Amino acid sequence: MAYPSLFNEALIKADMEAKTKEEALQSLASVLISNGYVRESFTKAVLDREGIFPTGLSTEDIGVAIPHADKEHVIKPGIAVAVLKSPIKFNVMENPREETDVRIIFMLALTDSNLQIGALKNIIAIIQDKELLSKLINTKDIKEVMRLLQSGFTSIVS
Amino acid sequence: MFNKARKDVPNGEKAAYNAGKVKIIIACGTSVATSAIVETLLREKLKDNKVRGFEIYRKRIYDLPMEIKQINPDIVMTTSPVDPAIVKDVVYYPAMCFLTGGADRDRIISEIIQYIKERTEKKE
Repeated sequence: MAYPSLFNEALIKADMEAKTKEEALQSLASVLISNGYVRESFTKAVLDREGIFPTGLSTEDIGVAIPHADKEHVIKPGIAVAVLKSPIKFNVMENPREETDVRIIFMLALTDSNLQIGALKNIIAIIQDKELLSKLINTKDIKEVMRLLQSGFTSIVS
Repeated sequence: MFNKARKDVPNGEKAAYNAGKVKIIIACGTSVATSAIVETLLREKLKDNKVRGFEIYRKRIYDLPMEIKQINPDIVMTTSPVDPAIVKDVVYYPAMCFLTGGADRDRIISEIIQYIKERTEKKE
């Protein structure tokens, strides 16, 4: 079954510098806003949600975060990706009092469509692929990041 | 750590009330993202194991107390910690491991498969 990729070069930031997670989240959210994926209310919604239900995942060596917000802030679905120059602390989903060093942020702008199921499966595959994650943090090139993310598609058993 | 699937009467009654279908609520902060991931994976595993007779509901953690009252689920899974008091009458699993993978996830999936099979194979 073919499904549209939610990744887009316009939504990728490689080698991103940010001092705090708020800065990183704001930066990524504005990419989604300026490309017409989400409303302006999305930024505050993501920050608020991160405060209550943190999205840091400590997947062994390379920490990942999957911040997102309610579908009411989303115009069309997409995923913004930031590969951070240096790790930033996020609180952990499993235990909000715990922190983890995050290197890659996947900011999810999702509605409720079943078409996104395939893309979501892809995200899981990427998050659990240690080799892919380490390739991602070792590249500063947006096209290369995009290529790596897309390569995750082929490793899914549908 | 995890609630064992209860074999005593209350859940048996609940399953019967639910017309033989096991009801599962999957909840996260927004009901759109992490719960969708968990639902997708769970459905896949249940399908692989030829398990039927279940209904999955995706809800927000914020609405959980009300939804549990309304839906009367057998199993509840969340991708963020919840107050144990909210889920004391259901079989509860923390589902963050569905996102990160690992042995816990496989163990939970096995338990859920077992639970559904036990309750739906009692056909007349």
